[in-house]
Amino acid sequence: MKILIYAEHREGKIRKITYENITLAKQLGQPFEVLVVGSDVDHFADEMAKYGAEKVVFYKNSAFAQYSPDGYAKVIAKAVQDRGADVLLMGATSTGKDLGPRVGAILNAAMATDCTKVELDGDDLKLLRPMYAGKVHASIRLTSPVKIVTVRPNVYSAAEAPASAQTETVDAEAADFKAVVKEIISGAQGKLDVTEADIIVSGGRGMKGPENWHLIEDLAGLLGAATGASRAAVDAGWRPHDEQVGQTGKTVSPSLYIAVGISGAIQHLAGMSSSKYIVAINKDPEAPIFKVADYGIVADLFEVVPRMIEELKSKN
Amino acid sequence: MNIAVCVKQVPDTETRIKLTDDHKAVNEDDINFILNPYDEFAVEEALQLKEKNDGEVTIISLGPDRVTSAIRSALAMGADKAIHIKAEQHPADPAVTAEALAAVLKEGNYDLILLGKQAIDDDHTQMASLLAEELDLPAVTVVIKLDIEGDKITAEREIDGAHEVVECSLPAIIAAQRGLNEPRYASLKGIMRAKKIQIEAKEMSLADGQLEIVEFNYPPQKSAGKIVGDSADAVPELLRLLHEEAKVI
Amino acid sequence: MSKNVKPSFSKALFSGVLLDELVFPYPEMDKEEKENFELMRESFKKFAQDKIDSEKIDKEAQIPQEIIDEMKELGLFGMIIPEEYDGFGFSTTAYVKMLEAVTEQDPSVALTLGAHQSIGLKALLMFGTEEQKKKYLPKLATGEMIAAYCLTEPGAGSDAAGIKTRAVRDEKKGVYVLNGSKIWITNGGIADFFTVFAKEPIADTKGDEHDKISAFIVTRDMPGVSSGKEEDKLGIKGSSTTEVFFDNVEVPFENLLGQRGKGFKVAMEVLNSGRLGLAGGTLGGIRKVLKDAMDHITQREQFRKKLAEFELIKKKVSQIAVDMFAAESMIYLTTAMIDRGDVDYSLESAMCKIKATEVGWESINECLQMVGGLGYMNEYPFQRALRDVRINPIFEGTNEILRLFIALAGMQERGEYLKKIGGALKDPIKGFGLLTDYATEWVVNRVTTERIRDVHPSLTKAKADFENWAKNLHFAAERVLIHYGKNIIYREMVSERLANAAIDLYGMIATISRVDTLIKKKGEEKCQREIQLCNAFAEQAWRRIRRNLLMTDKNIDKDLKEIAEFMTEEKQYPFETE
Repeated sequence: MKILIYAEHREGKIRKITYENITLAKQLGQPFEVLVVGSDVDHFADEMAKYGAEKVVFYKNSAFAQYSPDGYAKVIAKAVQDRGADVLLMGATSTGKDLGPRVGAILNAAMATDCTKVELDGDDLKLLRPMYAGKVHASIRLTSPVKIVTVRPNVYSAAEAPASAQTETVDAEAADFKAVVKEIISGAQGKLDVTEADIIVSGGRGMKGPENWHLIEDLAGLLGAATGASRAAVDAGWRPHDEQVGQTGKTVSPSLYIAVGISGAIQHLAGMSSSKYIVAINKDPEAPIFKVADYGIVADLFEVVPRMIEELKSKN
Repeated sequence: MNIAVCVKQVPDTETRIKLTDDHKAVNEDDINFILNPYDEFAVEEALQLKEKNDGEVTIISLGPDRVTSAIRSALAMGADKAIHIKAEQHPADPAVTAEALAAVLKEGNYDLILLGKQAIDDDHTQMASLLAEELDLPAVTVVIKLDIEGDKITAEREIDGAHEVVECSLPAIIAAQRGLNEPRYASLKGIMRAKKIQIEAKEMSLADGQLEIVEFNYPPQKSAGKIVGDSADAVPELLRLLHEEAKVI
Repeated sequence: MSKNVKPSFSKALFSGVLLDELVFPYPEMDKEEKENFELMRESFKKFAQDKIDSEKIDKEAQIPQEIIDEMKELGLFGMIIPEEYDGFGFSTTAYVKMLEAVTEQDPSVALTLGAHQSIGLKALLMFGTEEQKKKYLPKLATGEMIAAYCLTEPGAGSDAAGIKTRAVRDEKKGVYVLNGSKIWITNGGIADFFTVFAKEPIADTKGDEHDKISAFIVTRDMPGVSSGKEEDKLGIKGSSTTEVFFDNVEVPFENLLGQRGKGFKVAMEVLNSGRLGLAGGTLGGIRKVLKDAMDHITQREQFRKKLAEFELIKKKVSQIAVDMFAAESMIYLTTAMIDRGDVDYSLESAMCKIKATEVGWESINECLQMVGGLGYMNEYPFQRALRDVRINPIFEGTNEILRLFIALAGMQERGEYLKKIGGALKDPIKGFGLLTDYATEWVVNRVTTERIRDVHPSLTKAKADFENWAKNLHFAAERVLIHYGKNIIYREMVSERLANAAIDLYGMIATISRVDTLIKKKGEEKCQREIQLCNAFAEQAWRRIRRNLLMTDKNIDKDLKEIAEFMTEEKQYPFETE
């Protein structure tokens, strides 16, 4: 079974999910190559090697300097065929979810979105993917000759394992792009997205209002964490939609999730209960969030969070 | 402007999902079905465009008979027409649904096809991209802002930690994300109006899919952890645990 | 029974006749209307979850204007107004179910809608002329005008005859001049349309003038109409309750509602149908609190057991379910009677109001008890729910008055008959013949033969209990009538027991009919819970009925009255241990 890993990059940087997928491919013990699509991307070879890639294939064209879902999908599909890959591994990121189904449609290949477990089963793959925002897990099988799998970030870890990487460059054709990215508007300076963050500090209705959010931000800043919010906080207009964690927001699996003033409605729990460690800070001992929390403090968040900030500052 | 909105009926977010005894399917007995929340943004956007540019909004949905109530919800918001592609159940493989939707969409000659960025039941998040390839149209997914000037579309889409501004031209497919607009609530007036609209039913034979669900399971139960304390004085201990026991900070 | 009189299930029950065709099969909502209603309920739920903050509404004692405005947009003010007047033509069933859904989100909001439609504009709907309807209903449907029902006065609560507000005809101007004031008027501060009951002198055939009640449409733009400050209430704080004043208000003749002097009938008919909204709403209130309580008891542990696992908690939870199930069965059987239009539902509507509001108070109280100390804290919604629901047994006819009404109206028909033989009763020897006739007929009419139709075998015991105790209610009512005659109106404790028995019987037949109908539709296998609920209620109900009926004959009423009279003299509790 030959695996092709699609290397996701943005603004000159490889996204962490790519390394996580290398870890996964190695775990599966199957031959794999890493595919990089872009224009000026050669320098990625070394980084990829650092994480254990032994073969990196570049599909280059100056047109790929701009992201285009239709344009990229075509070239990826071409690469899958060229390389004789049986499995295409991508990240279950906005890019992976945008591109994966298109590649699948072109190659008549089935796709599994947002997998949390990828295992070998003879010469087939057994895939586990959450459905209903994690309320149930489905064990699935793709019966198409080529299989496309997008893997949820933070499930497998990015581990450095230096190797020497062979490279191969293909001058790829670029068809006329139908849709093209003209501009990337970065979020607030250094703002991490919740889906990729290793630590998330999330606030809920207990925060009482947007004016108190500096507590969440300060704590997140000290921990190098992304900031999230419950649906209640987003619906109240306190926080932007892209911070919402839960069934109608984002599903996250960080190493540490700190829920501040969040009671833990089912739809919120669905989005975050697969986090490795959960900390709950809430003054209501009955709040459902404590049922999933590894550590809890039952007290007023307006006393606890400032104290955390103070303690962390004194340690740094 | 001739707009199609593809919608799906899903269990509401408060529903506890129960499995059948053999774990091969979800038990639908006590489920309260609703219009997929992301599809509401798509319907709202279609209605706003219609109000601005004139035109017609057609709702298209695939599924068993019960999905007509989701279609009615969309009609009650203000859509004009509806097509129900009859199927005994929602196919496990979204590519099968895409193929059927694409066949209907082709007939309609729509200027714009809107849908939600994902259905909150199976969470595949594939439909817009699949339709784009099926119909050979540009598509922008996870859209939080949409401007249409003449034939030119400028859409802002959400990506991890940033936004992308994407350009393409009509006809096109747009997958709506929360934040695109604030969907209107169906009024009694809208509901009564929707009642008078005949939903066109289409029989269609669906292909076999290439995605098989072997079984469903409940996620492992997380057991409640420890309460570190009941005041801010517990903070040093909490930080110690996170550092030494969990090793996450 | 005269031809013009509509049949009444419960009145017939008192007379020993079981009109089971009025209660079987259990009614089902029209399919299309059900879909409409479900869409609206879903839409409202979304709206409420996004926009309605009940804690804030309670704290600020006001529903934000945006909420009212948006509800107008949603069409919620025009639910029961027919489509030809720009409303949505909901049946009573759909309307009451909608009020139930609204109450589940917020009781103050529901009350604002309920006071507008259940009573505020109801007289216009039921008794208005075509011109009146055309003039006002479209505006009431959009909420451009909000309606209020103005009956209660400082001196006229349950006793409507005590009304002091006067209307005097000015024939020259073609107006009534209205003077007086009304208190505790729901929507008083926000209404533009008032249904006002006032007394006017009306000459009888001999030319003598008597004060009779008439009903009028009064609008806020009429000079002399004003409302007082918002009352500070225990609960349902967001709803508007004020005094409404009429100071030489000139009301055009054409604003008379119904016939001159027939206002009392108008007032009562409006309340008869309006009560169902309150009853249904109460169910929604319980639903919400129960959900919160269930969350708590399935999470909170004591002695290493979830609260929900303790038998005494289980008892509370199941009792709430049994009571809600019975109240719900009664309510939606009755709304369907209203929608049929050919049934006298006055007793049943009163029964639903009593049952639902008492179940509401008890259930919410038990929910608070289940969550313990937390329920008493202002931070949690339990106390608010308890405050909100407390008014329900009081307004739209106190439950005490309604019980007397049920018993007396139930016995009235039989009483008319007995009056005929009244002479015979007074003078048994002279009236022997008559009495014999009566006795014969009594035997013939004996309800021992009266049965309801066959039901599913799983409900046979409940059916037999119903038949048996229905018969006993009839016998008890006969005994009471013969024993007290007219004086029964002074024996309130006795009447109350008969009313209680009748309410339980209606609850039994409503649940039996509902579950029997459901089994026919879904099969026994799928109705196990419902069968249990029905049988549990029947079992509890007949025991209550037995006690109530036994006590119509044997009781300590005399002692109780004397104690009360003594207390009334003392005006306090005068005892103390030595």
